[in-house]
Amino acid sequence: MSEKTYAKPVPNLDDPEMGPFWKAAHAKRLVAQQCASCGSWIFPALPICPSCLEQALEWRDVTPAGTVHSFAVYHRAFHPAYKEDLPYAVAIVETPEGVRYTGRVTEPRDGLAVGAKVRTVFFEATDEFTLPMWELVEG
Amino acid sequence: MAVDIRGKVAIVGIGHTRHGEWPGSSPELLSVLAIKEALKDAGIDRNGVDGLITCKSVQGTNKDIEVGPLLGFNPGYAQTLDYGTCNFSLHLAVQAIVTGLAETIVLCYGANARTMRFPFGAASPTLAGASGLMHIGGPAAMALQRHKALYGTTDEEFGWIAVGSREWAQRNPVALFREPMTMAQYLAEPYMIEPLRRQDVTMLSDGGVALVVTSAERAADFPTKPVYVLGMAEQSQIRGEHDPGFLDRAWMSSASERIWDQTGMKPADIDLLYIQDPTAVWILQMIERYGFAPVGEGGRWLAEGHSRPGGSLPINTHGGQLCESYMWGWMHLVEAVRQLRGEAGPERQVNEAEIAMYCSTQAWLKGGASIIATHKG
Repeated sequence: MSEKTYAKPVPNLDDPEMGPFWKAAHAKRLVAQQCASCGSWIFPALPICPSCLEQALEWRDVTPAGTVHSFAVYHRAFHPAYKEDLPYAVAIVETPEGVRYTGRVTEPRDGLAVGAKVRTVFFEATDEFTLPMWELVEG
Repeated sequence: MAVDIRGKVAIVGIGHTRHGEWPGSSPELLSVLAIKEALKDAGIDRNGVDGLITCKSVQGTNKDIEVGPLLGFNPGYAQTLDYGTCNFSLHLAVQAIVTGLAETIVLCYGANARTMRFPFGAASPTLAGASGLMHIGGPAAMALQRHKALYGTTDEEFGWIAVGSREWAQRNPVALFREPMTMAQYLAEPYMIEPLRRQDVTMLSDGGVALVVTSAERAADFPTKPVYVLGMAEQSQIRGEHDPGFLDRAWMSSASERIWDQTGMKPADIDLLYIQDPTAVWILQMIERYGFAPVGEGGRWLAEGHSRPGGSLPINTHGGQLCESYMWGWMHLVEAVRQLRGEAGPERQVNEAEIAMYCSTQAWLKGGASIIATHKG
């Protein structure tokens, strides 16, 4: 692990709602909530299923791949720690289950486009914090 | 069964502070300074007002109970909206007036987010923030990226929003950004959050804005030419990002259908169009969702020059938030009233403008529109 301090925002890894997502990411698993009552997928986490209003939510594995719903390329850093990454791309990715994640697209990103295929990579930001990112899939 | 509100309520006073920087002045003080101007314009004092609707500032303050002590009176009706955009504030005022809760209401907004260095666009400790998605320009850029991918919209077509707004702002002495900008200059500007350039995004500013709104019966008592509300509609998307289509904001079409049904009017009846523009993407989306251009054709429509000075449907004749000042949409209605009164000055007054429409949103969560006119419809 690098001695360099990680200066970007770090979520509350013990958050009552999102904690299980971060714990799974640390174990290199991509997860989302699924309602055991109606089968709906939910992300970001909620305390109740908004489709059937049952509190039967379980964290389940999601396919670690998907398509780019859209993306933006930052040429300006709105937080000083992102300066070193400029320009960097952030996408909303939709998995086959229909779950949508916001995430960084790793370099190289030639061919990044709406509809492009990507897969999950797990970036170990600190010893405790792992951030799911997305890399382009050839073809 | 909908209540027919057409022509029952009128805007009879407008007021605002200068734009830019107000170091040390609170949102509440700026609201009250704007209210003073609006009351003066309407030719009344506080005794002629029985309602107050404040709009929370971008900073979260400016509630009615915070404005009240400075304003020095206790109106019969007082209320605060979290995000007025002036549209939702006007709608609430219309509801209060037609139901008799109040007869003459002053609406206000104030902010000093610029000089107090409000952390607009700061990264939140969420998956999105940790991934570097921050500032309203981020999701706005994603929305534009989708528009480009789905419909082939080009930078140049989209750029007519920023260039056209600048052309209008050059005709507005109080606008903050008035330097000429050609399409070539726009295209030569670097991306900020690609595909958005700095010129496609508003800049925080300080100031206050107020309107005086009254019943049509009372409107004749005021010295100003009344501007009547002919129609209003709203639609929410309060599920936010849990709604899969949140970037495209197709839900605005529901508000659009309702306002056209309710008024019996159509887009071609509108002389002047005002669209709240924290980013230029809002204008592209709303001209399509409110039916001024088919969905996907907004870019081509803009490139035909309709929205620019001399065009068939002038948009944001004050320069909008992109060029005049970031006042959460409030200056759009002020400008619409000025134009309809014929008081916009020789450089930007649009001749024979009788009907204006104002469309706004609370980011990805809520939208609304109002149609106002020089007659009762």
